[in-house]
Amino acid sequence: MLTILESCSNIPLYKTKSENKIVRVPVNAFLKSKYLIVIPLDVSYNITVIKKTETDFHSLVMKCTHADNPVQFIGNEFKCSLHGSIFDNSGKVKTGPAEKPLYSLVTELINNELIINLK
Amino acid sequence: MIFGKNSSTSIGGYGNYFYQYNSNLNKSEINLERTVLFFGHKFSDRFSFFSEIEIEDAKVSGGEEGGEIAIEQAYIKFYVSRNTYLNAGLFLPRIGIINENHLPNTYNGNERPMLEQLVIPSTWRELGIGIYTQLDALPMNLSFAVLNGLNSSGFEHGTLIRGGRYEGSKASANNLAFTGAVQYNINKFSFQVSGYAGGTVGFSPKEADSLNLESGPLGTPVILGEANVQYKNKALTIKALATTVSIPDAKQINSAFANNTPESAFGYYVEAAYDLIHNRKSEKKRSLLAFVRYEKMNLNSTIPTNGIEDPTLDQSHVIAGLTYFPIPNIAIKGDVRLSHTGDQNPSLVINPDPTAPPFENDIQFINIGIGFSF
Repeated sequence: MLTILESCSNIPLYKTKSENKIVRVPVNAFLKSKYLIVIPLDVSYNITVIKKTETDFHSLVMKCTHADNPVQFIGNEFKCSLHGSIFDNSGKVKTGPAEKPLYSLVTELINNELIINLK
Repeated sequence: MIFGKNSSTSIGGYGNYFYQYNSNLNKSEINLERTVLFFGHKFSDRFSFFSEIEIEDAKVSGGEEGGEIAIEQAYIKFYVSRNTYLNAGLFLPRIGIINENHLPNTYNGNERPMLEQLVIPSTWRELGIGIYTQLDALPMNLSFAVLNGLNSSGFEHGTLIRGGRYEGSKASANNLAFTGAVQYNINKFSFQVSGYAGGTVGFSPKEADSLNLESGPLGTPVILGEANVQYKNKALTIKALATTVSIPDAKQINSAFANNTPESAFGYYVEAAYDLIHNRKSEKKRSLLAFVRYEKMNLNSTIPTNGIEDPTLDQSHVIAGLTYFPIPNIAIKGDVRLSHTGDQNPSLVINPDPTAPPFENDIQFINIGIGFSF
């Protein structure tokens, strides 16, 4: 199942499912924004993919590294509503209590398709 | 399992200590105000446990004033779906800013905002069950919880409803409370509206009747409403919060317990903070916030006919200072609080302490301290 939605914060959402711990995203999902929130419906957390250049993409798991609460991407940073941790758009901690950056996932562009490795 | 270990136990914590000079008493004090340890355990992707154990004022000694050992939170978290979870146990409902996010490196000043100590009695935890959900299509969080209610016999003059909290200890379950919050985040703004309505009489109907109090789930209620907005743009952060508390049956509470409970209270604050080293490219982790906060509150804005007005509870506070973060988890703080209150009501001065300094409407506090979390 593939669905592209538009969130209220103007960051497109992309719903899909993983296969063999791989999430596939067509590169044209980035036509409107350099950010995309991927919602793998069979996985516990969303993924924010950031298009750094035409060929370089960075994927971050939207899970706070302090107490595993889902984070939200608001105003170019990730916020955790549970204890107030804030991460910048590269996943680095800006405000604790989290100490570790957001988990990043290996992401490759192959034949106009992003391959996000969940392993 | 994806994104981490399937089962794990985690430890964290926070604490703060600070020096305070009080101009009215002409006296200084230094205190290890809070030391808190988190213990959490993840049973599976869906089930986890979270707890906080707090020691206030460093020690608790038999018979001495001060000090507290308390379980601040202890709940099971159950993910119903990817964005929705239940909390069951002792937890902090989403009311105001500080109640849920009370770690000392998340607020400016050595003291938590006065409003969120006196009007919203943070940290306010009770036993119950809550549902929290985060929407995908909208940047919105919703929460709703059913908790045990308050105990109006514990209300104390000057601290509004703070003394009525059970905090998980042998709470009456005859009366209940309902609380909910809506958070909406868009671009650089975060908005929240929250509310609380709960009964304050946990007695049996017969006992309550004998005191002329209404019992039942929402009998002799406390109703609290709160709204806040937070704005963050690069180096600038602005927060504003307003709240009101209504106790419509305060007269009956006073008749039963003689604790001078008011019918209503209100408060608001506005804070601006600016990171003075935000533009330095070498400062990736460090920040130095200059801040100022203005707080206004009246803990007895209306009183029942059997109440005694206390103008000292009509207060304003200006807090200004610096918060330096050498790393995001450690905050070194220096601030000044200028407090102003109304006059003393002589009717409320009973057996005055002969060694007490004369009453002053304006008091200055100088605070220097450190807070941390991990």
